[in-house]
Amino acid sequence: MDILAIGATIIYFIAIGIISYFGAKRTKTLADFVAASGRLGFWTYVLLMVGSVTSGMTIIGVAGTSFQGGWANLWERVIGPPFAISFCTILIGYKLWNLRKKFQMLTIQDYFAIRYEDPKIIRMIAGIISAATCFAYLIAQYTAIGIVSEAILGIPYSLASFIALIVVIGYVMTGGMFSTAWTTFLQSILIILVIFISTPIIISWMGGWIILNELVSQVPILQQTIRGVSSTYLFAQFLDKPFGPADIPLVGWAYNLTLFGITVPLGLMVAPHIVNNVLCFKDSKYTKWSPLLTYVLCVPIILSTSIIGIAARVAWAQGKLNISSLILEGGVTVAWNDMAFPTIAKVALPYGLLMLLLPCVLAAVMSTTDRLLVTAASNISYDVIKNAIRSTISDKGIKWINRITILVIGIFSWWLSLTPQPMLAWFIWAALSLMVNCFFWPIIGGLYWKRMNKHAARWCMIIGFITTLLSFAIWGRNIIIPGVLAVYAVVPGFIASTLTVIILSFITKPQSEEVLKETCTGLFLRRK
Amino acid sequence: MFSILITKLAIKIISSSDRILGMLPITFVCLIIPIIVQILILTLWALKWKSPEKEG
Repeated sequence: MDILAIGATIIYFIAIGIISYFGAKRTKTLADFVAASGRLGFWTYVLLMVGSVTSGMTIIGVAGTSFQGGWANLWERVIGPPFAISFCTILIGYKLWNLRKKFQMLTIQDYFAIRYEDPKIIRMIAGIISAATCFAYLIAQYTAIGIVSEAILGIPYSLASFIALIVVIGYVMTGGMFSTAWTTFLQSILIILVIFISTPIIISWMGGWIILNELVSQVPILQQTIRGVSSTYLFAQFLDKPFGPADIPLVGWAYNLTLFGITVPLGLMVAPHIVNNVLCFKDSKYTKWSPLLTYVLCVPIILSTSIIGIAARVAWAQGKLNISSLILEGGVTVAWNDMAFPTIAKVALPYGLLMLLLPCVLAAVMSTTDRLLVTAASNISYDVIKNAIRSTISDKGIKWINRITILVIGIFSWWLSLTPQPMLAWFIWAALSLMVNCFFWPIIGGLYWKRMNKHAARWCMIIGFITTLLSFAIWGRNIIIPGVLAVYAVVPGFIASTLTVIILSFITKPQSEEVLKETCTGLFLRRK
Repeated sequence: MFSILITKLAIKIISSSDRILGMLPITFVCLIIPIIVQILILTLWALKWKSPEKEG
């Protein structure tokens, strides 16, 4: 193990510890814990949005996806997460501003309860589903930590992810949203610095931008002659194209459309750990420039890690580096695509910068993990228990429920991460499928469509949840009509939730005019 | 007007046979155009922004 890397990681943990201490001191009430009492400043909010969306998936998963799909998945980088956080602020945060103040909203479930005149049932359904989706998302985060620690430092996968788990549980339990937002501020700066410095160095190591891109087109020949694998292995023939034919999974245009046109941007926009951020900022003026700022910060980060993944693929085809293998259940050995970033970093980055990679991935993982844990804990304690089951529960009782929830969800998701997949992206995309199919219409339909009512919202969540799980159980990730079409398994759930909303909204009564007026429902952002 | 300009630019780049910065023209267009369009939309949003608080 390397002393410098351990030193950098310890310094990082100490910094997080100090920030968390001040976060804990600031946290006095339930509103502080859940939503920082809506007191986050401009830059804290901007970097919270960037940090919440820049997870282990961005650093490790996007590079892994790009290693496999090259430019054929570029839609993830130009539309996916950057679009989600920018338009979440505009379409949801801006419109919810007045309601937040008027109704003292702390979570999006508060909005559901008011908009759908349903203080218990919808809050419970949404809270439980939200906690479940956060749980699935968490698994991928621990995977990312384990991968980098093992690749760079040789620390066993399970031990490294366990250390990260302990640290993140510690500060989330004590400081709630203040600690989360402030540590994310530091974490986002670290991520931005390391990624923006690493990428030009790696591109330069590959011979420069133009040569790298010309080599991408040579990968089929290179991998055949140097690696002795088929010229079509891992979608090599599509690496330099923006999409492949419709019947190809992952890189085909239909797959790109359903995964990066629906699942990622829409799912992230309404994801519990993102959408609840728009209830935490202090001033409505922040909705003016923050969407542009979050976009211009997020696109280069995700694009950079993607280019690093593409560079790793070219270097692998050239024989300049080897990617570890992963043995799946059933003894099948596959390339561990997620190793792309740490592996190329090890050979291309200068020593000092390489040693910062572990804290950077820790930062990326923890900035999302902490937000997920706060969200899941709030869903159970605030939405399900306090507001739907037992309103008389004391603040002390709520605090304990929060702690237990954080502990249980944290440890169980870490335990499941001990069996990694070749691409952690699949975990994230499955969680986002649940999010889009359960929450997109109840939130967006609730804000912009007057006919949307509680029956439509309740059943949309239930049917969306069940259909999505069934789709994954029946088809796995891909729904393929051979020779015709390959789409991501989000589609049945999206169709089912959309149809449920349309049919129920038309056959049942809308909410009262008074509520629609009070909640500013309608096809506008701001009432004239 | 703007969308016509963007479309014309995209068609011109795609119809070119030369690589752009080492990338296939269609890949370059698919990468760059969505970014430009989104940045323009978000800039316009900021410039035309009005406070939501005027609402009752």
